[in-house]
Amino acid sequence: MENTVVKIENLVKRYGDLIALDHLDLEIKKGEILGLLGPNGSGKTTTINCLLSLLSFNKGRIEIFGREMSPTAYDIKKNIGIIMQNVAVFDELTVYENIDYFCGLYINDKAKRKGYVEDAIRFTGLEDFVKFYPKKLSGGLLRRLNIACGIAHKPELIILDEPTVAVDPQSRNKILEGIQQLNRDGATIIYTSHYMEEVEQICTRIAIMDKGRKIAEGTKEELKRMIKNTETLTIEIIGLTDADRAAVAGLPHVYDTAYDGSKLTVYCSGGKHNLIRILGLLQEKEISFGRVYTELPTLNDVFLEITGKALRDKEE
Amino acid sequence: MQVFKAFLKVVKKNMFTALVFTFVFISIAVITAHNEDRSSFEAVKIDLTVFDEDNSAESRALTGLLSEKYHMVDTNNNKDDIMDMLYYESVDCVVIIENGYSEKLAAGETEGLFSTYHMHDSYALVIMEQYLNDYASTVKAYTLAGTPLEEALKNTAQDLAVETEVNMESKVSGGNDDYFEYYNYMPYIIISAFLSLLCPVLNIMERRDLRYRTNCSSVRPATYTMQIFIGCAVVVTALWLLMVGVGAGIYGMASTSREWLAVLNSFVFVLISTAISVLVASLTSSKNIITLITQALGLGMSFFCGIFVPQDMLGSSVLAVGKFFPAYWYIRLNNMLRGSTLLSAEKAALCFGIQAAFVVAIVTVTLLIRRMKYNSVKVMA
Repeated sequence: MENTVVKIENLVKRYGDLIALDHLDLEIKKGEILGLLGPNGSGKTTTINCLLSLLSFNKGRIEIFGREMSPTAYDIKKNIGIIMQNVAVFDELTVYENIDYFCGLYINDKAKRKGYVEDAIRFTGLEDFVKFYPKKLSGGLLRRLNIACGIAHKPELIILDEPTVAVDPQSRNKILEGIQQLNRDGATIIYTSHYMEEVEQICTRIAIMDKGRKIAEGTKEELKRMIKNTETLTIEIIGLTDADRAAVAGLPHVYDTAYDGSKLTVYCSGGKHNLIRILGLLQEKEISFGRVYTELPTLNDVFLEITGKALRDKEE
Repeated sequence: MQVFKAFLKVVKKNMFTALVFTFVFISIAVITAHNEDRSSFEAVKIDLTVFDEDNSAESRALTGLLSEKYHMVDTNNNKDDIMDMLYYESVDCVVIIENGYSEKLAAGETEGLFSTYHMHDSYALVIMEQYLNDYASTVKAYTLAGTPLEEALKNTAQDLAVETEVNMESKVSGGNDDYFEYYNYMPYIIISAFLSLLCPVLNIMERRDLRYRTNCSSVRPATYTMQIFIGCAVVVTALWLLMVGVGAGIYGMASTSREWLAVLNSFVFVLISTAISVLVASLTSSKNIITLITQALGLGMSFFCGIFVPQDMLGSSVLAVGKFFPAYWYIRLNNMLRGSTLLSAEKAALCFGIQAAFVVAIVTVTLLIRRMKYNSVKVMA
């Protein structure tokens, strides 16, 4: 219990007839990076808003650091840092002044704050830009400033709400590395995103949300084990007969196949040496083939199998 | 005091526009107050053209009399030229002494002696018709009494030459008149400067994403609001002291109780303007709309409430509208203090009271709006 940082029990939030959170239960242990994964409108941000007591809820209970969270729980809020997807800083203040301002909302001691601000500047690599105004900063530097403003007061719990939306790949990697560093330094992290690759990369545990409900939870390995598909093989073959395709489909652990005239896709469920077995069959039947690909299931496959829809639209 | 310090830094970045507003309008107020001569009286001399179609000794006598009393303008006796002169206001009135004037005058007639060209509803026509009627009636009175026509003309000229003496003694002096004139313009400066400074600053402090971040922090909403309030108070007091200081620098320190009341009156208006600024900032964050509201409120109040045009020259319907603006009560009190209207403790208290009521009403509405907005800001999707 004392190892639990956040505990959400039976949380229900309604907007009129719309149920935004449907009996949500969630527990986050100290030192975890919990990925809250789900499509737009799945209830991730509502969960965060309820967690921060910015939003009242109809039913349920939220505990943070073992105490009940409420709008006036300022001692709890003192240990929470929030980083949003949009850069929320003053254009009229310099980089240093911005970090100092947001740190000052938590830390009153001037000397202590000065040290914290300098640590945040060092952590985000903004040493050369302290006197710059935000408008003079590049997109990547702005993101770093946004993070510095959120973590300068050294919170024990950091909530990152889609911090990499519209960020270039290089800056995205730096942000993700920074988050992992914060976690190594002792912070517990809640990371919401609809980018499954990021969540897979940094999160120690993942909760998948849809329509206000938690539909799956576990490590990425645990989640992938929940679904039927364990491996997808794609083989370039020209002129495959129906009989040969039926032979492939009849192999152990193969539960489905697809053929479009040039590529045979084989879906396997469990088992080992699926590729060797299929290639062996093709050799035995003297069927020539080109390139061979093998893919392990992704979180999108997990989401697709559980909900029947893709986590992200193709264009995203 | 993090919020307060940030507020002042944001003010510093937005100060330029407000200072420009303040200095431009203070300059205009000072120049206007200084140029307005309220110490002497001079009768208006209308611009007049006379065509003497009778060309008699009697008509020439009248022409001579008119040329002494009014400013004569030469022009051709041509209808188009006359119309142009009237249209372009080169002349206020054209008088034609009709043929047969001397005979009619001798016969004691007063009708058909003159004809006039004038602009519709011209005040010059009223003056001229009255003068010519007086002239003809007086000549007739003398001739009916048996006075020969020549002597009657001389007597009439002497009688009509008597001018009414005007002495400027009508008002109780409340102090330096320019001082009050300066304070008369102050509402326009205050409302323009405050709206142009406070609205953008408050909008920045209340920016949705920044407010969200603040709401997540351990700062209590009441503490946040209090620090913003202190920031506003410091800024508006500084601007007000600047305006009062400029007035004191030019016209001297307030020395009479009336002058001090004018200073107090302006402070009450500062409170109103601050409340209006906070209200406007709560309603919109669009710079264009704020500029529009600034102009509409500043100019609207100035024209409806007697800042640009004295209240005693405004129509009753305009004043009826003006009463719904706080500036009306400010100007009304200022007029009492300068001695333009009678000052009484009850009337002064009424003006202060109504202005205070405006502050309370605006603050109440603002709090309601901010309460609603705060609740919506908390839930930022």
